[in-house]
Amino acid sequence: MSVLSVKNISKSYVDHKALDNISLEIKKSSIFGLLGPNGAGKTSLIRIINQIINQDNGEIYLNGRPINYDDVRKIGYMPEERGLYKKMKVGDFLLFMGKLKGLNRNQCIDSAKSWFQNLEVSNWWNKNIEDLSKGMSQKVQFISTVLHNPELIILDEPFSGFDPINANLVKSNLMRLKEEGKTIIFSTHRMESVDELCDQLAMINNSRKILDGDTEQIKMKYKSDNYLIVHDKKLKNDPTYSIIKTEKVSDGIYESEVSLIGEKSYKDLFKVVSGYTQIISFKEKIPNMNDIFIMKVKQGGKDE
Amino acid sequence: MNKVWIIFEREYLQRVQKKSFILSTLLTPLIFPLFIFIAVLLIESDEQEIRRIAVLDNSGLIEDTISFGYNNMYLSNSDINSLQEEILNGDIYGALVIPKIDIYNPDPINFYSKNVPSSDFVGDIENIIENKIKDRKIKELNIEKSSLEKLETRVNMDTYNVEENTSSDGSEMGVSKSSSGLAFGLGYFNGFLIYMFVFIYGSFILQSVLDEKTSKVVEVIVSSVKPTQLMMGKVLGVGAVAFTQISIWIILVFSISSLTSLYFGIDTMNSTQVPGNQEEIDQSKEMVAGIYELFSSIDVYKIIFIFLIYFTGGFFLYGAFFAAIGSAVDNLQDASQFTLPISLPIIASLMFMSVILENPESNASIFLSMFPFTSPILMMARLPFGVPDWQLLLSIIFLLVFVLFALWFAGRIYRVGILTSGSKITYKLLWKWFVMKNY
Repeated sequence: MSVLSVKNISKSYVDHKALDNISLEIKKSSIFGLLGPNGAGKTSLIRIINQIINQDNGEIYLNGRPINYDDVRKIGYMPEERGLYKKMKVGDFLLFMGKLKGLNRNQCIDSAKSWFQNLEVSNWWNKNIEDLSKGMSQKVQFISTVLHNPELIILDEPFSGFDPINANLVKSNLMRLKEEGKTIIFSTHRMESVDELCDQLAMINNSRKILDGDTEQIKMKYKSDNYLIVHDKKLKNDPTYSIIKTEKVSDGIYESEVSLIGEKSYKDLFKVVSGYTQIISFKEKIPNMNDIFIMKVKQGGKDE
Repeated sequence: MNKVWIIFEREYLQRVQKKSFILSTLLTPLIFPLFIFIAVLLIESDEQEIRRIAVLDNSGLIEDTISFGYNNMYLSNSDINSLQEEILNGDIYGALVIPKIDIYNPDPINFYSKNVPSSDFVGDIENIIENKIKDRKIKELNIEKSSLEKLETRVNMDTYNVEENTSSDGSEMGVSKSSSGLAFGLGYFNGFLIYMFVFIYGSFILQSVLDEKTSKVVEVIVSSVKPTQLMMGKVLGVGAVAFTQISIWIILVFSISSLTSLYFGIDTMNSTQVPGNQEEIDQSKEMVAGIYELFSSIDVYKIIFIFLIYFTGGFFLYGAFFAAIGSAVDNLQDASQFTLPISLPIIASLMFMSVILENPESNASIFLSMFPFTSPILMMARLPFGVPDWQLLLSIIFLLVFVLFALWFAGRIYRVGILTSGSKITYKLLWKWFVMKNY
């Protein structure tokens, strides 16, 4: 069942259209990737889901009901443009954020303590925010997002500001939250980075959805029956395959990309190639999201 | 509403706990008397050089050297050209040239100096010459000087306000001593206080909104709170800080004044009885008693009450606009082009204040104390002179309506502004934001 249904959302600003008839279904207990280049409309969509701005047309449903303003308590949102009050103490800030989400003082403190542990930080309750390093404030931002134990967590470009260590820490925590039954949506313009994290994804370009679905299915759909073979002698031409390119890896070692011809399978390919040369590695070329995106943009969304 | 309270609480506590707030609140009531004290000290310690002034007298009015203040006028025989040279060299301060004079129809006298002389100085010299002419007239007309002195009389007029006193045995008429000087001073003081608060705390709001926008915390907040709630909580929070400060000042001033009155042994509430015992108290006590008597003629509680209304109203009216500006711009430099038109009515109010204080009953005064953008300052200036209740009520209603309008207007700008950065802000764009139905 979908936790969140986005139905036919459109949004225009003073001078341009940001979203054009976008629909999405996001499954419970999954990680959903919202992909697209900068300016595609991702942030507008996320702001509409968070009820920060209003859509012109369309509806948002949370757990099957039209979303209303009280639902912000069930959502944790970390925007792309995120900051902290410099002149506050960490504890006061977390209390403030927690209260806005409807927590009382003790709930805030308990939740903050367990998150301090999860993110491997000591007790920062009484630290001044202006004394925090960049990595530390990123963790505080993340804690303030999940402090009220939201069932839906929305992260806009979550890794853009994080250093690699914090990014991995956050990733593993997101996986854990997913296992606990939470649903996570995140957006990014760095499409190659999300393959391993997302169960589902949607691509947005120029305010329109150009692709969505299950990550693995999308990859299967867009694979091209090409194979990457590392071998020692040069490949000869053969009716089984055509060579797309060959690169020299080191002395006497080459990497070739070949595509199958006709109804041949990878078994035929392996047999034929191993007749010419010693195979060091043999794998199917799976397109990453960036390749798929470029492919879709080139098609110009013709097949929609 | 609960969320507005959370925003309010944070804004208020953050500001009130600041050292700068505590210091300025406690020290400002002491700083003003201190300034006056220092100014007096400076004036007294001012040992100015004697300024020499050459006099070319063709009238025979000046017979000897005359000294006044730090100036010394001596008769000179040189011609004006060499005197001008001496002025340029700094040997003398100036030269006074008195033409041959018809005492019943005198020509202007001339003064030459390097700098423009102060108006006091000009008045002093004119006085000296006028007195000299007067002396000569007395001689020519053969008037006895002593009989002339008998002609001079000084009369002081005390002014009284007539008012209705409602006491237990019904209403009766009463009079109390009034002072236009005091009304003038009080009006100016109250008006200026509101002017100061609107400006200082208005810019606090602008700064606070801008800080949230530039530190990028705002989008985190508006995912939990509606933008208008955030703005209201903020304006209310800063307003409460201003209210706290002014309340502490009022309490401080009251306790200081009641301490002094205790010291001088005066019962402030019954000070009208004091003049009867005046012979018994020494001069300083008499003076303080006089001041207290004048103050007792003014309904202090009413003025404070009305002050707080206009203080709050003026703050919200301008605070809303400052919040809208803070939300729209990306930095303080960009803000100035929008704060200028908003500041104009405030600055204009200060300039109109002298007009109002000179003539509190004029049509212009009545209009300006009704117009919401000027009424917070200018009604306060008028108030000590006495304002009919209906005018007061009408002015407050106008103000209230405009406050509501300003908050609504600002809210519509704010909701778009806080999430928009990097675009060039023009009045046209602000207007588009304002009329946008759905954001």
